[in-house]
Amino acid sequence: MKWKHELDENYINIGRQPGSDEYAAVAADEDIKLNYSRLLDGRVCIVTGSSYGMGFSMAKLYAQHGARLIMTARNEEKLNKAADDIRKEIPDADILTMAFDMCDRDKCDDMMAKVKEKYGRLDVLLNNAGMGDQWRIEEMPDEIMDYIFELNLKGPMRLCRAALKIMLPQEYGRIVNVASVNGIRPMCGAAYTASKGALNMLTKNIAIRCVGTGVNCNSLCPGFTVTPLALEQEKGGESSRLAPAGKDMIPILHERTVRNAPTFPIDQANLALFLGSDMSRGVNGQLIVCDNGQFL
Amino acid sequence: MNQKVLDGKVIILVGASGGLGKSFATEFAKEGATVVMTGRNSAKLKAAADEIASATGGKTFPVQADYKSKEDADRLFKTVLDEFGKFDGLVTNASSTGNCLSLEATDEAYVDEIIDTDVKGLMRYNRYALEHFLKRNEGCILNIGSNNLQHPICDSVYCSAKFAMYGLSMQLAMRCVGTGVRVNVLNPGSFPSGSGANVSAKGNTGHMYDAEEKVQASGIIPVVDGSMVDVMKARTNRAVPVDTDQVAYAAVFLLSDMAKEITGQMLTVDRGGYL
Repeated sequence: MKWKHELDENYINIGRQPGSDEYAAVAADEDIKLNYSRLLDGRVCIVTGSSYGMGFSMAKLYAQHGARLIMTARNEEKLNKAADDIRKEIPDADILTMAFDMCDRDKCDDMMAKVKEKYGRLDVLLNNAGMGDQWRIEEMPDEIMDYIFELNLKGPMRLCRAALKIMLPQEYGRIVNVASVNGIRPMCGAAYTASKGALNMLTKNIAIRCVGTGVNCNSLCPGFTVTPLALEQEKGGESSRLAPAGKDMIPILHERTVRNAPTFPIDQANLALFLGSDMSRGVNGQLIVCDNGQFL
Repeated sequence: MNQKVLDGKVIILVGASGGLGKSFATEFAKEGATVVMTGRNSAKLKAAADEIASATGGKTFPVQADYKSKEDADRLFKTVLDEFGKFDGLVTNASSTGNCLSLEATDEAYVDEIIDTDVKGLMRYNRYALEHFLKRNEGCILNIGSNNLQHPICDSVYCSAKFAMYGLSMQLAMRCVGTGVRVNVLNPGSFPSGSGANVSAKGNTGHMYDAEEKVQASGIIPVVDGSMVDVMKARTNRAVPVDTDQVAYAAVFLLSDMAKEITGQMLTVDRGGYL
């Protein structure tokens, strides 16, 4: 039973009268048996940005739960090492690695084509790859704005677009967009927070479009999580694109959030597991924050 | 990895005899929790508790309690602490259902009744749980709201009471940061068996056909006899009902250690019907 966009007779009859047989049939279409030890058994899952930090933790937990993984990152060496680290713990882990830059649109399409060819399906797209920034709006350079939006918003948009072409016909899919608590309570850099807010709206738009199709789309919004990237940003470093002192949001961020209650990658991975598996079959269009209350 | 995700936890489930309550109790018991089940009707409650214990091989513990009554709440919490010495979770599933009334069709008695259970009763149970949890620096409150917290469109007083639940839960979550106590809201979607009374006080079940001519003229669904049912059905997607099991899985997640860093959140399980 699909969501019908045109008002027709069937829609009025089935959608509007709880208690009818058709209504009950729609509700009972699948009997899920949850195995809490193997929540992703056999599921084909893409995890972007998974060579270290949060993405690595998510990929590893997915592998522990039986997922057939496609791991992506920019650096091939680091990515292959990450896959090997997972295989050390889970020797029979099914992992395909693909090294490319998320901003390269052709490579994104290539990846989806390879996934379709190799597996014939795609169950979970975990859009984790992303970058932070701390620039105040009045100081923000154009190149930060362009890069952050290209990576944090347009990359996931392109991947969602391609993934849905596989997920909608198979009438099953889970898209998990790793946004940020800053997409709800925006304390960090202007471009970063705006891109994450936009990603949250994309999540809800996709969810609205996908009601009744078997595809769910939700946002996973981490708070401050102890990862190599986060620690680098705190200290300052090239890849963090940290703004110089006086031009950054860090004093405001530190003043307005709880600093001594960080989360860890495994906490975000557990939420990613919930959102990628059949535990969350009824969950669509939600923005779930995992931040130990730091940003409340 | 094979350990049950709620192993060893004692969970108080308020309002456990209905369709959703039984699904909650079943999933909690399956995953190793001891489920203290409450309800107004003793016989119905005991039957549910026995059925779930034998179906799951898990532990249930029925305690009759009317959600409105302070005396029953006092007795319930004393019984739980005497029996188990502690509890780890509170799930407030009991609620009035409201009648899909717009405000002009309500009266003082109607408002009092809903606020007494859904706001004052809720605050009482949350307060008792909070006192216990703060002593232990550990605990999880899960207040069960409604998809109307995402899109407030049914009964005026019911929606107000649910937003009061949301406000309370958020305030508690903020108060509890750093204490080891978590507070979240879980909103169920629409069920096929209709645990809510989607009927107006005057018996209008809200068939679209009643308002069809007016809709064609203006595209605006009228409120008929004070009933919001037609408007609700027109403005939300009710073609995607939710199984009570799906809501129960989300409750298991939020109560478990998988979600130990998740607090102050509202999770709606409605397949997107009320987006």
